[in-house]
Amino acid sequence: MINFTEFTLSNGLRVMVHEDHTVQIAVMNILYDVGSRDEHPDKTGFAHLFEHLMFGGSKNIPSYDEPLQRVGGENNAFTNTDITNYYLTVPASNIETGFWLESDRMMSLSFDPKVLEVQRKVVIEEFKQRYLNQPYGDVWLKLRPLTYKVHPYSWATIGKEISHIENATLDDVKDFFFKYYTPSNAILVVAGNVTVDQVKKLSEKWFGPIASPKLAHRNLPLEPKQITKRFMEVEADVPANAFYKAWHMPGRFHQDYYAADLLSDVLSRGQSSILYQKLVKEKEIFTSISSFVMGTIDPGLLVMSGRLKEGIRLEDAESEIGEIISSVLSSGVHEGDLEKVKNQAESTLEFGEIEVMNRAMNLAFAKLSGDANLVNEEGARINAVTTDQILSVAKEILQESNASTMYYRAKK
Amino acid sequence: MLDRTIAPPFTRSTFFELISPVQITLRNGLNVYTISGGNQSVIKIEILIKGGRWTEKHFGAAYFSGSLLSKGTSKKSSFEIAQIFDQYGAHLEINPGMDMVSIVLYTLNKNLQPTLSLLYELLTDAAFPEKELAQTKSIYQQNLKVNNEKTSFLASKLIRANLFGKNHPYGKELEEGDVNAITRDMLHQHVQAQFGDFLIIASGQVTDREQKLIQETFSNIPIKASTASVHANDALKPYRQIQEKEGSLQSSLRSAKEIISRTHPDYPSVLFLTHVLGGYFGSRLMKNIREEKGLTYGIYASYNTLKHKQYLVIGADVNKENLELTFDEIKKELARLYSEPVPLDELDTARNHFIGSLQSEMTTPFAHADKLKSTLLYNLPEGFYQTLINRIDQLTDEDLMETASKYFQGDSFFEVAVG
Repeated sequence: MINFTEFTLSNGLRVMVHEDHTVQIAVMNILYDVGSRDEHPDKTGFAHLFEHLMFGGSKNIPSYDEPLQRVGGENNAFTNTDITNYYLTVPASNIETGFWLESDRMMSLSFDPKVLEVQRKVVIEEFKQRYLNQPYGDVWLKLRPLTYKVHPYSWATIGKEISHIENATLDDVKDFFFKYYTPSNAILVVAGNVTVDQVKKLSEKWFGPIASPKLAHRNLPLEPKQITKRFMEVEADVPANAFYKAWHMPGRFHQDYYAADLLSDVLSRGQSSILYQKLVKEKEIFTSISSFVMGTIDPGLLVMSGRLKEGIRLEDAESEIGEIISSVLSSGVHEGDLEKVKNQAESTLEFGEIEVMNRAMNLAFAKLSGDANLVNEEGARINAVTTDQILSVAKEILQESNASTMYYRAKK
Repeated sequence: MLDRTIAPPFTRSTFFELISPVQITLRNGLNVYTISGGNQSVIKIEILIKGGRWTEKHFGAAYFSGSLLSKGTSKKSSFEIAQIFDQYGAHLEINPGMDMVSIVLYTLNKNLQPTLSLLYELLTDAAFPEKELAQTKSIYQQNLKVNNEKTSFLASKLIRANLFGKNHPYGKELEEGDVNAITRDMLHQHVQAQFGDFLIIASGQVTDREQKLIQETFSNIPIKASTASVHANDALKPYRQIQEKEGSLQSSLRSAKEIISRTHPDYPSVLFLTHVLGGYFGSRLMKNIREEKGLTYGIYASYNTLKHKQYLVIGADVNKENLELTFDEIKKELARLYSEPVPLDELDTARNHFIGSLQSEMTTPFAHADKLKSTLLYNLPEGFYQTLINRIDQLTDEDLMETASKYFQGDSFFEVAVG
């Protein structure tokens, strides 16, 4: 149970406070409701590049990191398809430094051309280090455009290609900032050894004066229902064949999301799961296998992926997986297996709340659904899922016509 | 009107307090430490066995005996074991390391009893079934092949080999042939000789009930001292080695040297210099190599500690054509540490950041348990962290230059690059 108080400033900034006086620190999490799904198809990778620029100094403060480090603070950020999230930790008595820094960069950046030049290079190195210079690193660069034909989930957050990052201009930076980095497009969570009163005063003081322009309405193309199966084959210099299959499924805040999530857990969570036992242990088809849901806000994917044992054909691996799916579709999942993954989910939720920073992030994300209390209802929603519901979402999702398959072949 | 150019006032504190552990010694001599804290009904049980790679007679025995503990006992198959942990939503993590084998159980308090008694069974009755060993080996071999495609993995492996020597436990890495040579007998032998020497750290919600459960479960297990091993490494001279890897887009580089231990009087200044050099986002290497030149996504310097040795390492991934430049710049930054005093502004920032992040780490009982673990493993004196903070708080720019000239000479570092 995460207790919280929420209020909204007149400029539209949503603020939440979670008091926890057992820790000596205070944390601040700012979620901006913008991700790579909001990018132009010819300027991909921009939301993430922009995240880097947020550390290049703001209107009144030449450096973001230095003053925070000076008061004993730490910070970081991440970007995904849906959101850009910034977070910091400070000794509780220095929380005002967080307000000062975050409000100034929400008000305006420095827009220093040198910062863009350097961060462009840094992000290109990141692109190479994480996606090109790793075995299997480019899987999602290839699988995304196979699964999404019109929705912007068809490109990865890092971007479609390096040239898009090379071509970003300072005008793009300014447009993006004034469009998305506004108070009403952000959710601020302050947690830890703070009080509601204190956070109210500091929020008014530092964020209150920021003007909020009208928000551009998000209008993303809907991905049409997939009606025929898709297939792609890739060959690369990797030591083993790998198999990927992705099915369209509902988004993170849809009522069927939990059933689909539990379905993927029944299939592959833990070493006693069906896929691991049958295909890694009994038949020795795969050396590793997992299934998971992407958890995106717009309709997402349920994915199965695995690396094949040497000497096993990809075609055979696929038909083995097919058999398991058929048996789930014809006889559903066992009551006992559902019970098991619910217990695992309960444990994950409980462990996930140990860190105060995690609680703050979860609150911010839940608020994005429209109701922050979702954070406290997840356990009950997971528990309410029945084997019938799982069978019905399985029938909905696990159809060949709804699937994209990729053979990632090892070059001999 | 609010003046946004002026930073709000701030306070600093050098206070550092760890939750004091409760120590009990069971009648078999087993030491159990408990750290109680947090509001969630969860508990973490860590078993630390003095049976890592350092203690092996057969290379790989520690890794495979550790990994296979959960793969079958005389009464249960690997499936039955996995089924029980999964059923209770518990999570078992086994990390066979250089010095210790660590086994960690994460569970909800309400499920402690059944999962703990299974853990006891794994420790006392592991069977190492032939089939499980074969499967684990074959999966290991494939993972090894994948890792050998990663320049960062190869660079880390190479730097340790050059630093400690290819025959030293800290310098070698399991290769295909070593894995093939492992037999069940070697695993049984290793467990017999080494796995009787361990301690337990429990953290999270630990009340009398949990204490009692741990006590009841483990008080009959025979505890015996493991055999001590001695490994000497040759005195090697620093050099640079570049290893080509066809088709790679970047090179992973590492610079490293052996360094003093945590109980040495120069440790606080060495650790702090490492922080200034490459320990945080505002460090000199990050500023120079990433934020000014854009040569890398990230560069770091860190102090790594093992039971019998410690080393400093600097690492980054850069474009091949920038390799020479990066090595040169690293040398320049090392030289700057002993040739110029650290400006007071930078000293303040780095110091506050160092102390603040150490304090901020301590938000969960698990973090407190990790500090206790270090204290026990490396025989650190009482109040080690508070003393460290106090010492760092008092360091002057002169102290730092003196320490830097002793330990941060560029030509004392081994250098490797793979890519």
